[in-house]
Amino acid sequence: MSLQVDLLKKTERRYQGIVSMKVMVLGSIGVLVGTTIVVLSLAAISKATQNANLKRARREWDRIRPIAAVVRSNGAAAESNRKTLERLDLWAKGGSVPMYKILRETQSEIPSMIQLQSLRAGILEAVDEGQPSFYILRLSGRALGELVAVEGKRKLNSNRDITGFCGDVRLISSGRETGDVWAFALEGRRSQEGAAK
Amino acid sequence: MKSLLNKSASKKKPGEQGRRLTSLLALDFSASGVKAVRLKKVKDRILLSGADILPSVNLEAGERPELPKSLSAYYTAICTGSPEARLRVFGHVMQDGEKLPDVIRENLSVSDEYRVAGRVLLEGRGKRESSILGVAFPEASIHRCLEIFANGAPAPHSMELSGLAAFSAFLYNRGKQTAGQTVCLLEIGMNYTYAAFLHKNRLQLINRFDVGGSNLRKQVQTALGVDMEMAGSILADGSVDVAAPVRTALSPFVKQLSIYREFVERQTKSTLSGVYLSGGEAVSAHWQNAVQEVTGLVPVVWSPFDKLDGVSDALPETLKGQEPRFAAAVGAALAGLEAI
Repeated sequence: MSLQVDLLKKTERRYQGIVSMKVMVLGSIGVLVGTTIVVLSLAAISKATQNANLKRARREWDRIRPIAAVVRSNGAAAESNRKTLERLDLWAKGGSVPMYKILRETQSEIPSMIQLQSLRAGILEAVDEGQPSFYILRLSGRALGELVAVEGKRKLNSNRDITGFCGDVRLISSGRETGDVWAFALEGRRSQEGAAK
Repeated sequence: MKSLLNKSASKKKPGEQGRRLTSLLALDFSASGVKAVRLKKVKDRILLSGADILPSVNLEAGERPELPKSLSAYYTAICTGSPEARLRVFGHVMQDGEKLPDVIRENLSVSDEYRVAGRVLLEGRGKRESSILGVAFPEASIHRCLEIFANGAPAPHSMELSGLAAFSAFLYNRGKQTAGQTVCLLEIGMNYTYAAFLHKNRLQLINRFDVGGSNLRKQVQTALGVDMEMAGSILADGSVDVAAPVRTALSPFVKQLSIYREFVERQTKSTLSGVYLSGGEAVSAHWQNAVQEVTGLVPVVWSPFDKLDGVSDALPETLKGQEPRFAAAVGAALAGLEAI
C-alpha cells in the first residue's frame, strides 16, 4: 500500500523523451551540415570527373579534327556527286536524248534566214526550294522576214527529240528591228518532275 | 462509494499515458541536502541503480541541484516539505456528487492559495465515515518547484511530502512484518518530524511537527553557549551531558506523541507494538531515548534499501550507515514505479 499523495496536476507533467529537444535541435543541425557536406563533396567529385572527361574529349577532338575536316570536305564532294547522279538519273528517266543530239537537231531545224544571237539548252535550276527545275531551250536572234521566226518555231516543234527534251517551243517575243529584220525569242521548257513521271 | 476508492486508486500517474516507467530518480529536498535515489524496475525486482546525497539547494530561491551523470534520468519524483504544508487523516461521510478536493480543502481549512490532494484510506459504507488522508501545499511553492524543472531532464513525475513518501517506503520494506500490528513511524529530519500511527498497515493518524535535529542543536547551543557546529558535535559524540536541553527541545513533541498513542490505541482497541525510525536524525541516540521513554518500546531504525537489489554496488561506501536518510526518496521512487 502506498501513502503517496501526488500534488502535481496532469497538465503540469511534461514529456521528457529519450531524445531531448536540445539533442533534437543539435542532431538536426548536424544532419543538415552533414548532408550539405556530402552534397558539396559529391558535386566537387562530379565536377572533377566532368572536367577530366572534357579534357579527354578535347584531346580526342584535337586528334581527329584534321580527319574530320577531310571527311567533311569529302562529304560535300559526295553530295555534289550525288546531285549530279540524281540529275543524270532524272535525265535518263525523262527519256531525254543526249545534249549533242539536241543541239544538232536544233541546228538542223533553224531556217537559214535566222541569225541566232543566243542559244541556251540545259536545265533551269529552281530559284526557290520546292519549285521544280526545268529542261529549257531558249533561242533569240534576228530573222529576215516577219514569219521566219514562226516558221522556225513550227520546225522545232515538229522535231520529236526537241519536244521530248523541252516540250512545245513558243514564240515569246517578236518585233521589227529594221526594215524586214525582226528580233525574236523562242523558248520551250518542261519541268523535271513532269519528265520523271 | 466504491467508485470513490477506485477513482482514487486508478488515477493515472505521469508517464503512464502510453507506457509505465521502468526507471525513476527521486529527489528528497531537505535542509541537510538533496537525497537522490534512482531505482529501476526489472520484471518484479526493484534495483537500486544510484544513490547520493547532493549539497542542499534552496527551492524557494529557484536553485536546481547539479545532478551527476550517474543519477541522470528522464523523470524525477520530488519529495519536499514546507512550513505551510498541512496534512491530516480525517473522517468524512461522503455525499453523492461531493468532490474529494473540496472535502479535503474544507477539512484542512485552507484557502485557494493552497493546492489540495489526498486519498481515501478506508471507504465508509452507507452513512459511515470514510477515512481520508488530505494534504495541502502552497500553490506558489509548487509552481516554483516546477519552474526549476521546466526544461530538460529530468521532468517532474510526481511531487509529494517527504514524510508520506518515507512511510510508503516503510510499507514496502516492513509491511509484511507489521500487517497485524499497531505501529508508530517517525521520519525525523533536520527541520521537520513526521509522525504516523498505523494499525494493520492502515494509516490512522499523521502529523508533521516543526521539530528536528536543528531544534536540538539550537537548544544545546543556547544551553552551553557554543556555536552551531560545536552543538552538532556534542550531540553526535555524547561527550557532554545534554539530556536537559534535549528534553526541553523535544518535550512538546514527546507529549503530543504520547497523546497520539493513547488516541490510536483507544481508537483501534490495540496496543502499540513497535516504533520505527527513519530520516537523518533516526540514528541519534537522543531521539531514540526520547521515543523509548515515551512509548516504552525500543525504536527500530530501518533501512529503506532492505528489499531492493543492487544496493551493495550502487550505494557509495561513504553513505553506508546513513541508509535511513533515503527513506523518503526510496518511497517516492517506489510509488512512481508502482512497486507499492
